[in-house]
Amino acid sequence: MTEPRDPDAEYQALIRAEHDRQRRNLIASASLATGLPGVMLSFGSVLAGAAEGVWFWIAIGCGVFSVALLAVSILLLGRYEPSSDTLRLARATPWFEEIQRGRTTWLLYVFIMIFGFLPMSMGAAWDVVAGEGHGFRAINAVVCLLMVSMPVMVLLGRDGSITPKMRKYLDDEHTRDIRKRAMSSGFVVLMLGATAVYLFGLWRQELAVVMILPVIVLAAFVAALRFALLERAAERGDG
Amino acid sequence: MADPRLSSRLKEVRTAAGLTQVELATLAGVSRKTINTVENGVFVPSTILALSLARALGTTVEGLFWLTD
Repeated sequence: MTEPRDPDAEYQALIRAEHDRQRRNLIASASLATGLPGVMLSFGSVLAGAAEGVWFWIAIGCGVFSVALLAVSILLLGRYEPSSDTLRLARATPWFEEIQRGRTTWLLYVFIMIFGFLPMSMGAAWDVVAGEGHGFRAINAVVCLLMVSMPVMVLLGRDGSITPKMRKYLDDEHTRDIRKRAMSSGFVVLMLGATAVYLFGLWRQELAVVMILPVIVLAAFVAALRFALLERAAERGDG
Repeated sequence: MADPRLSSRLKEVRTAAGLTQVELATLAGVSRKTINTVENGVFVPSTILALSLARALGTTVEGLFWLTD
C-alpha cells in the first residue's frame, strides 16, 4: 500500500534541497571573495619583505587561513550547478515566488561585495577626516554608503522593480510582518553601534566618524540576513 | 507572529477542497508562504486575510479559526 501523494510536502522537500544548495553557494562565494585577496595580501607582504617580526607570522597565519578558505570554495563550487531538484522546483514555483527568492538571495550576495569595499571606503574616509582626501578619495569614502542603500531599498520593497501586480504577492501581509521584524533587528544593531561610536567619539572624534560607516553596513546586513532567514523559514513553513 | 490562543483547521479544509497551497494562495491573492505559515500556526492572519481565505474556501472565518480556551 503506497502513501497518498502530498504535493505540498514534495514542494517543501524541493525547497529544502534548494536552500541547501544556495547555502553552499553563498559559503563558496564568501570563501572565494575572502580567500583570494587574503592570499595575495598576506603572502604578497611576506614576499615583498614588508612584514617583519611578529607581523611576519601573522601574515603567514592569515595566508594559511586564506588558502584553507580557497580550498573550501573550490570544494563547494564543484557542486554549484543547479540539480534536477532545482529545475523541478523552478517548474513548480509561481513566477512571483521565483522573483522573491531571487531578490532574497541577491540581498545576501550583495553584502559580500559591500564588505569587500568597506575597508577601502573606511581608508578613504580616514583620509578625508584628516584633511587629505580630495576628489577620488572623497568619492571612495561614500561608495560603500551608496552601495548599502541598494539592499536597504530592496528590503523595504522600495527599489522600483515591483509592479502593482507583483506587489500583491511580493508585499503581502506576511512579507510586511517579516520585514518589520528584520528592520527591528537592524535598528537594535544600529542603536548599539551608534551608542558605542558616540562614547568612543568623546575621546577619538576622527576615528568615531570613520567607525559610523561599518556600523551602518553591519545594521543593514543584520536586517537583510534576518529578512532572508525569516523568508526562507516561511518557505519551509516554520518562520 | 505566533499566538498560542489561535487554533486553525485551514489545512484540513484546504485539503478537503482539493487545493494545494499554491492554488489557495492564488485564490486568496497572497503568497504561498503566507498560507504555509498560517497553516503551521506561526503567523496570525489579519481580519482581511482570514475573510479572504474563508471566501476562497467557501466557508466562514469561524470554520477556519477559533480561540483556544
